[in-house]
Amino acid sequence: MLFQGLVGLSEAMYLWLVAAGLSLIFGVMRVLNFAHGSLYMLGAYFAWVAFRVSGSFWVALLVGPLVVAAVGWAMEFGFLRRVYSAPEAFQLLLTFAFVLILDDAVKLVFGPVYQSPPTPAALSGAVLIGHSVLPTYHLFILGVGALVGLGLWVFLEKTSFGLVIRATAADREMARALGVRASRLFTWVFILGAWLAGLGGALSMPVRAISPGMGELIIIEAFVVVVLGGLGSLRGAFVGSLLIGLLHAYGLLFMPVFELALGYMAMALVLIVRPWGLFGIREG
Amino acid sequence: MSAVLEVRGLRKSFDDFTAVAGIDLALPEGGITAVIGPNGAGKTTFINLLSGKLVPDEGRVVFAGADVTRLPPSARVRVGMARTFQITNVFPLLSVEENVAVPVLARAGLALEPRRRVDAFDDAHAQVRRLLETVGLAARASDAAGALSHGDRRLLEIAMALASEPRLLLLDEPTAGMGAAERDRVLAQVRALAARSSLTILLVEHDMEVVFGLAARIVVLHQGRVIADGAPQQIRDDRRVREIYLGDADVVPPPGEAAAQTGAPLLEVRHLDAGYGLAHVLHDVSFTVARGEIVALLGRNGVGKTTALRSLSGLNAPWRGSAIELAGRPVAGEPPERLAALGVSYVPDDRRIFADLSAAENLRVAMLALRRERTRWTRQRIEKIFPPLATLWDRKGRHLSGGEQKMLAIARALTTDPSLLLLDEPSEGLSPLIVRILADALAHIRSEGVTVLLADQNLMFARAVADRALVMERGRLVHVASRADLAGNDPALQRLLAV
Ligand SMILES: Nc1ncnc2c1ncn2[C@@H]1O[C@H](COP(=O)(O)OP(=O)(O)OP(=O)(O)O)[C@@H](O)[C@H]1O
Ligand SMILES: [Mg+2]
Repeated sequence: MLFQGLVGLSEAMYLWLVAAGLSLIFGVMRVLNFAHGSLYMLGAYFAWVAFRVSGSFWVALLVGPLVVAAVGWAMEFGFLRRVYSAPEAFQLLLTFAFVLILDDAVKLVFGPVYQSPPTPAALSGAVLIGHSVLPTYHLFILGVGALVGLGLWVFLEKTSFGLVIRATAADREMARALGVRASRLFTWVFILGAWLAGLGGALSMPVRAISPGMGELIIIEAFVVVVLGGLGSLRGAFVGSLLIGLLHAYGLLFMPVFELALGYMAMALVLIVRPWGLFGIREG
Repeated sequence: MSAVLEVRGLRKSFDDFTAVAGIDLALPEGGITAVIGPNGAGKTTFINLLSGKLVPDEGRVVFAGADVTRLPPSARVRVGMARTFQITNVFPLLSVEENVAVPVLARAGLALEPRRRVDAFDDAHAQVRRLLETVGLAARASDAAGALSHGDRRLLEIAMALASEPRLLLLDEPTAGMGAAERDRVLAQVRALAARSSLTILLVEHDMEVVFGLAARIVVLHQGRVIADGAPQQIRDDRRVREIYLGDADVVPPPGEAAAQTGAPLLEVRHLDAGYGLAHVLHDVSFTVARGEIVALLGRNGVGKTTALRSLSGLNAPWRGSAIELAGRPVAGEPPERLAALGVSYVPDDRRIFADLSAAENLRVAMLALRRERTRWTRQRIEKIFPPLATLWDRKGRHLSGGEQKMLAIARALTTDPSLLLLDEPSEGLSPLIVRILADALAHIRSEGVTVLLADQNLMFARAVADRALVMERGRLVHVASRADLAGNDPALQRLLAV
């Protein structure tokens, strides 16, 4: 039981990293980035390449997400910023176009085959929990996820840059009137969001199969998490990810037939009771 | 004689702060009672306790003999207590008539019964008509509510509140943000309403002309307690009330000397055209403001004052052909952050405080945004202008009272160390005493070389601070009033600001 829970929680961490970026970008920029799953996928592929070149998992973990952050910069700087003032449908279309383009680009370069990457030697051990064996890597992921959560909290709540981000998220127009260079800030926020997704992807590389479709799988779940937790709320994204992770783990155990539907059912339930999500802000 | 409303020992605290600290009050049936008091005295909190939006920690609210202390707002409306909100609350896309029909049908229990709706429509329709006549809006019945002027919208809200056939009507700052003309119209309607029926009205206001012109009884709150309660004359003469709320003899200081207009122009506006989408709001507006001058932008509600200020702050892009020069540099079309860096600071009429940030953090954002290390406007100096802020720095924006938010918005703008300060309705919602201090402070600010352009409905305030007034009508600049014109009875000014 406990073991299942831990597995669920560690699986939830990939989701959390993607949902955190998605939620941050939406909260500050009011853009729903469909391509966020594709950035996650890119994180896995780039990390894999970096591993092949350098032979070190740690180098891969550093380089992969950074390259994704650079891709995020190009996306925001080259394209997204042109449609901020356009109707939302255009923003959705643009980010959706990125899904198609990035997925196809990956297929072209790496082929559609499922790659099976190696597990890092230092983390390939296992820990005995009760009567079950939990791979050390799962614990590692849990640690990284928690650390990122803590880091984001400190960044947003305790630093000056975080303060300006919160003000801009709350009232972009007023922040600009006070002198906040919103377009620069947006670029940085998007880069940070992309890096988070890339980190999720890089972390998943050794234990999950890498495939061109992996982004689409996770983006849907990430949307569920973000809606369930409350649009734009990082705390909501965190709790939502854990909830979905646990639901999957225990769902697999107790009602395998429904496992996939459980997340949606949870979301529907939450939305009936709190239409603004668990931690979202009630409008009006 | 039994009271319609009786309040006993009412208390309400938020965290560590007691906003309402024990209020006892009895209102007999009929008549208008005004609640006044300094910003943050607990007036809105008190109204919220009466309407059911907040639940008191202690005490009881008895309405028409029944204890309603724990009833939710909707239930209170059903027993005959109605309120309007501080922020206007109408459905802008529905017609005036339809807006009133919503509560009428809801009350008749028809809103959710499509089949019975048609049968009952005649009755409901007649009632809607009656309500619109009560507030003087019958002629506008088929107009979209969104197209109404500020004052008409308030009247519409009152009509909607009256649909529940209340015995008690609670009004929170019903004339806030209204020009003299609009205000007088709303005032007349409310007075007529009170005279015609046995309706009891309790209102919160900072506009002394409204309070003294309307209420037969005035209740003064201070730090969550009633410190005076009586007839208008009695309140006017109360030493304590003068001290904490009204300020000395005049509500505003006598005009000082006008600033010499010899300095080079700081702001030059030529052929300014602006609007929203297809709506053309500003037509060919041209004027200049000298460095160190205080200029008031006057005009009735809806003439385009806010649009003008927004265009100057970069929040509304001026249309092509408009020219704006700041200290000789063309800035039309520059984004707001650029103008902020050039020394333009803007206080919107709706305050726009960052709700989740503390008061201190609201100021810090202004420093960080421009990467300023220090500002001439330190907290100590700001506390001199707005003494109430001194104890509020740690409070979240959303928990500040209306007036406290206004002070913070002005403080936040000053923090950017502006050379041009744009103030939209700076005196709205502030107590007379604070308005006085603000007027003094503006004179002081100007002496440090800050130029001020302000739009304010409070003519007394504009008179006290401005060197010159630009008067607008329907999006055009139609008159310039000198300081002497402002002080005297300039007929053109009278005509342009009256109905
Ligand atoms: N949720 C809250 N948490 C903490 N303090 C609060 C909260 N709501 C109100 N206050 C404080 O309670 C005091 C009374 O607020 P209230 O809105 O009743 O004032 P008011 O008399 O209506 O003032 P104004 O004239 O400025 O509208 C203020 O100092 C305000 O900061
Ligand atoms: Mg108030």
